[in-house]
Amino acid sequence: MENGVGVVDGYEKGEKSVEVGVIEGRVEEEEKVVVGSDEVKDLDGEEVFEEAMSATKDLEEHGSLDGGVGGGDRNVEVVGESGLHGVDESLNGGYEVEKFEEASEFASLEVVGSIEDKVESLVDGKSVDGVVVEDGVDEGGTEKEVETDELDGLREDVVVDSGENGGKEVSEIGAGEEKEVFKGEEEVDVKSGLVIEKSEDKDSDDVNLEQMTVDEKAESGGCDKLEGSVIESPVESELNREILNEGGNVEELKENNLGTDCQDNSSRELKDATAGLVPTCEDDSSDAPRDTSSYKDTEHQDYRNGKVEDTQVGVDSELRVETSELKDIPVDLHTSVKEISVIGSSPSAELSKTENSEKFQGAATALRAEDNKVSQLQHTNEEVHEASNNHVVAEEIKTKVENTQQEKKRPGGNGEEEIQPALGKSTNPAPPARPAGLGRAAPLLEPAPRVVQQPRVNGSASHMQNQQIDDAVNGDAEEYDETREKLQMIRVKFLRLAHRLGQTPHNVVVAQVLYRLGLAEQLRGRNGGRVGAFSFDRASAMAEQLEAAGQEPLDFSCTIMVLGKTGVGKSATINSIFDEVKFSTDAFQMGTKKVQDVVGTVQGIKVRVIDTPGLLPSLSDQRQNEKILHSVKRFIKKTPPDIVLYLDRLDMQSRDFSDMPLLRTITEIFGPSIWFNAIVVLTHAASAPPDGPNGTASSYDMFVTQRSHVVQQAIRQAAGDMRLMNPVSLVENHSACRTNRAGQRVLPNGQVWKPHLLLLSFASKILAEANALLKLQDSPPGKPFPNRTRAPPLPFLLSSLLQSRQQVKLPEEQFGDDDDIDDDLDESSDSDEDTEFDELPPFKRLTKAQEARLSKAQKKAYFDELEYREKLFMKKQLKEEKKRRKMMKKMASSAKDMPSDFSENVEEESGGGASLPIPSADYNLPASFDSDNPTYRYRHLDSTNQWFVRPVLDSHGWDHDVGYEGINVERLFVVRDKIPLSFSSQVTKDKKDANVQLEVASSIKHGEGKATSVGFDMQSVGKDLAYTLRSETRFSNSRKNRATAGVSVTLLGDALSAGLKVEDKLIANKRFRLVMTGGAMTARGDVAYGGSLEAQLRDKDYPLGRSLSTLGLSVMDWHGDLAIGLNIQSQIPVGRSSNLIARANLNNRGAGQVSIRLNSSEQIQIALVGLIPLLRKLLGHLQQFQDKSAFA
Amino acid sequence: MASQLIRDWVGINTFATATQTKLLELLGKLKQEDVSTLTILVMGKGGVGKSSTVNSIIGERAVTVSPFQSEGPRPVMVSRSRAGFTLNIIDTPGLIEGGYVNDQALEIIKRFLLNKTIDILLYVDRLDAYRVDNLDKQIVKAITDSFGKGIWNRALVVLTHAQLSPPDGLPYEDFYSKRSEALLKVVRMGAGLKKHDKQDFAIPVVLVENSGRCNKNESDEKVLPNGTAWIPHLVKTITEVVLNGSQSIVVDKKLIEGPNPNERGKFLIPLIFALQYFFVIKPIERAIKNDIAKESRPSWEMRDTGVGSRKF
Repeated sequence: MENGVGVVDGYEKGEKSVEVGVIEGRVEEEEKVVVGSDEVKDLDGEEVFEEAMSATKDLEEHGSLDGGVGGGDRNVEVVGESGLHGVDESLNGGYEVEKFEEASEFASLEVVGSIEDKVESLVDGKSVDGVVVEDGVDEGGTEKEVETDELDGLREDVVVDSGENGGKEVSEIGAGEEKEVFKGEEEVDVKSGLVIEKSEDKDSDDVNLEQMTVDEKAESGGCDKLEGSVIESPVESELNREILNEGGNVEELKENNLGTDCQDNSSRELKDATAGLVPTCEDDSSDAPRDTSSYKDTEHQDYRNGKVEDTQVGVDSELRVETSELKDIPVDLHTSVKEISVIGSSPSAELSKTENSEKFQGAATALRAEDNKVSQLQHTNEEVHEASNNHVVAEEIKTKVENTQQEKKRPGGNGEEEIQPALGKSTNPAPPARPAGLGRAAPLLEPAPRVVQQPRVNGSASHMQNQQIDDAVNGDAEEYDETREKLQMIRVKFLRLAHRLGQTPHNVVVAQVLYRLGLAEQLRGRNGGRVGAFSFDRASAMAEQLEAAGQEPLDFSCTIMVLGKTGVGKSATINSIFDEVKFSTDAFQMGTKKVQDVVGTVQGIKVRVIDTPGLLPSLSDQRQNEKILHSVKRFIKKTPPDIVLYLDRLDMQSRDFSDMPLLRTITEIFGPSIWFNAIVVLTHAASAPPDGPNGTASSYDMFVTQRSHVVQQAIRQAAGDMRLMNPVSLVENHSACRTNRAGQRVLPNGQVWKPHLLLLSFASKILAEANALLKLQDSPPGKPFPNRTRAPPLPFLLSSLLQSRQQVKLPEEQFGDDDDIDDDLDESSDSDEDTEFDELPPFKRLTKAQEARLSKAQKKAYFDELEYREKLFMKKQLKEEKKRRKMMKKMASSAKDMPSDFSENVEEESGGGASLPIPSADYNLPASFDSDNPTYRYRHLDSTNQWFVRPVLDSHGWDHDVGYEGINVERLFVVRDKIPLSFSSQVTKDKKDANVQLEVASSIKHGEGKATSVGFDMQSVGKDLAYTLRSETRFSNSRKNRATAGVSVTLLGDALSAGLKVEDKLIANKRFRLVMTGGAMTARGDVAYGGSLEAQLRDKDYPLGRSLSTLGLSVMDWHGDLAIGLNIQSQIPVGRSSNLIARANLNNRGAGQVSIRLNSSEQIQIALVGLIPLLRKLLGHLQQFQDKSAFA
Repeated sequence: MASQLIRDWVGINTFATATQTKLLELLGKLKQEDVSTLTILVMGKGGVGKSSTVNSIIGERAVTVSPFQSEGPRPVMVSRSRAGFTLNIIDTPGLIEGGYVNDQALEIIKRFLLNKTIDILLYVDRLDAYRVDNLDKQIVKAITDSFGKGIWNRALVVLTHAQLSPPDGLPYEDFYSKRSEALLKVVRMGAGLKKHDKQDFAIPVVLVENSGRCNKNESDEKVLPNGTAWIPHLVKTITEVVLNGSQSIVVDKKLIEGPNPNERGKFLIPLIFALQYFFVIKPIERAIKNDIAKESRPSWEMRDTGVGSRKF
């Protein structure tokens, strides 16, 4: 405050009484407004102050620093030259700020507010002020206009509009010293906004902006004044000096205060920024449509509504994010902001239609101060009404304008004259003849105002606190490792690039890249969001420093390749990029005959561009295209381009897929990956949009959207990847293209295209660099799921290794039981029971009728007898079978002695059945016939071929109708009559992916009880194929124990993993057996250990008695991640025809499952009745259990 | 289509008065020459502005135009009559699809045109496309193949999007002449016109600007950057072409389907037959006879026949 006043005083000395008055009034007002938060404001104010004070030079610097905010730099520089320019630009700057952040909106609002204040204060007194008031009002009016302009300019890079706006305003209002003053103020605000941004570098600490603007206004009425004077500096150099002096003081102050404050804010802000960014990025595509739609609706409203909508949306979303922080906001600030916005809204309500007020309300809602505002609004309205009786109507304002013009002379006679010429210079130069129809329209691709990033208004205080806490907590975690430093350097580099291209960090592209960098970093080093905050802060500070130090060469170069149809302007675009004629162009002839490159610097950035001959769209010309593209391919072999620009004309409607052959050819030759970092460039961007279906011109945005969509879609089709989303950039090479003051070519939507295009190109290069640094897998947009298999799934491999496998057997051994040990074990006991069945007395089965006649006891006895006999019979059969097998074995061994004989046999066997293909054995057919069931519908024949081929049925596949989606081929070979070799493979293909599985196995017996088996597996895992080579040797050193040791090597993708296993099978007795396995798998220094234990207890005479209990335990350790699973299964026959199966499993995570199943084939009704309560009970228990385990 | 109503040409009233007078004058001239019906066929690539041109000539939105989608694959005939004069304009869909001439579309167009007379062909392309390529040639070729070379006697090349500022600072007239020269060359090549035909086939080039943004002169006529009001100029050129004495193209079955292959070369059949008779059959017969005459029989054959007398 004091500063402000002091300045005001100083200013007074500086001669302008009227202005001083105004300032004073303002100051008073502000004092009222700001009451609460003096301190903070002071600080901020000082900052601002300092910025302001550092005079023109400083201004320029800031400008340049702020650059991106909206070509602000240029503007500011101009400020030095002519007051009005400065004003205009500052205004624009303001708008830009708005564009990027709502905060800026507030700023402008505040400007309005300040005017209002002024008006009020003036109303109170001096006649002179009357004039001022009018001016103020005019300002309001102009503000309105300005806003419309802004809105236009919103997306544009402001600079363009500045000229126009300036011109308009000036012409209408006639401007004057006052106006300048006001604008000066605005500028201050704006500037402060900029400054703040700059200091915090980041997305928008709207909060700060808020505060600052408020503050500035509060104390730095003077400051504003100073700005004003600065602007006028060319006119009055004395003032300048004074200001400079003042500036000196303030600078010091600011440094002290700011140092701490701002940084905290900023860093914390960053975090938010990222938060805010997320939606931004996502919205990217959707944004444009939204905007356009809103534009459509409000065509006549100059997009104002569209803007409003956006902002509101933004506000809402932001609010959501930050509601939690709202509480922390100092009440004072709150109110003050509120007031200002309210005040702001009043003039707008009067003068500039409801849109403004809407906007304000949007803001207000964000502040949650609607009620107050409304009331106050009315209040202020009234005041204003009284004060300046008839400002309400625009016409009247105009008359007033005239008045003011007259009055103008009073304040500073020379002021006007000087201004006018300046104006003339700056704004009047009629824009050069443009290509047809350079209508203005809202832009589309340009960084649409990302409101998302804004209203940190409320959050600031809390943010600060949080941040500090954060700092404290994380203070020790400051291990910035090397990569992070490098990443930081990349970030700095990118910021510098952006800066050189005149883009602020608020530019969408920039913000996105930064966000992605942050994300990459986070992915990499697993520490939360704060990384981003710090790094960004530091990066931007560093970038600023480096850039301020002068254009020292930047360690960055980018190779851009240009592809496209002939005649779309490839060479011309290159010429435009370098701003000189590097390649000759001719509208009618093929200008470029061969591939050539050119190296040049753009804004101090080394750029290499490869120009290629034009491609032809016709299908019959594709041969020619191929030739061209092959030559391109050869050319870029050594130095591949970082980015590919695919050019097309915006105004050519390549519907009917006329470009498809061309795009296909490109894809064929370079592979679809070429599109992953391709930018679609639409030349002739200044062409007028075609007439819509109803005869009225469609909006430029629509036009661009449509065209981009068409081209993108075509590329997607050509690349065969529907997820591609190539960024679009517009280009206009026409010599008559509209340019802004800096001579940059500007599109109809106000975008300065060159920086945008370059930035896009550089961004992708930067990201590639970062990726390379972080060794992130380069996941092109088309493949959101990069191959995860790169890190081989060790547990999976291990478990497949641990699985015990059967040794391959010779065909004659095929019938052997899975474990011939059983036989051996049984053998001894065989003989005694052998004849049991035969010894039984003859038994005749009863017929059903007879059965029915039996009494209960009889029946029971009968069934028992029957069962017993059946059992015995089966036993006998089994024994016979075994005997037969033994015989065969013997025969086989004898056959070995007489090989000729044996082979004959084999032949006989193989040839014997060769006559007819017969329907092969079916899979288990479902019990009831269902014509829809594929097993019933499709049968296959079993040929007598040695190759056993059959379809693979998947009843749960995508096609329910035909479940067969694979084929299985098997064959067993015999090599040299004693080595069995089995081959089986299976190919399945469903809609999405194809799976291949192939297994070749062989085993050799050497010596008694020793066998080695070798196998080769190939199977598809995800998109990769896994090749496994395994071998294991089995030693049966005793009857009861057999040990197996095995190794395996798996190649999956490009990772090789090796495994080792040991297995021991212990057969304690007939009923109990135990299998223990242990193994390890290693790949890339990663080791997984696993083991399993399986115990089996079974019925004395197993195949007949069905009781069987198994206990399985498996352990897996990977990455220190221990997984233990326990599995118990028991099967107990209950009674004659019931069976109870209980199964339970549990793992060390506490998840488990218990299931009990009871099968019964007798007295079903009873079983059912018994089951109901049982089930209920069990269910209840189960649920509890599951709940528990779920929570565990 | 015959069933289509011939409506009164009210659209002409929407033109500026100056344009109207000129148009009526031209129509009068046509009527003097006993031409009371004029059928104009509009063809060209997709998206160049064929339908817009039709609408501009008619003066109303007779054909739907959408800037981003191509219209359906069917041709549309718009008929308007004014003071006993009937103007039929047939708008066709774009001929290019996926980088080649869409034969199907062409076929549909031909069927549509069956039993109609084409007085004028408007070949439409854009003025602001800088290059010509094979596609253009293919289209021209397709048109020529369908309707015969003669159609280029009745053809106009129409360049839309005429309101532009030429690149590289070329003067408008230069640009225009270069572009039209390039296009005409392609047309001549595509149509297979020889050098000496050049005089016969002087295909006029007309500029058109359909955009609502088209500049207007003081009498509210749409004018080109070179100052000519283009609608009257277009109609005037059409009139000139109509009156240049060449034949209109009547699309009949023969034209569409090409000559009947069964008829072709029929007269050669007896000739070939005669040739065969005299130069193939006769010599062979002669040769056989000769052979038989010269044959020397083996002795055992002689014996059987008893020619030789030998004692055993």
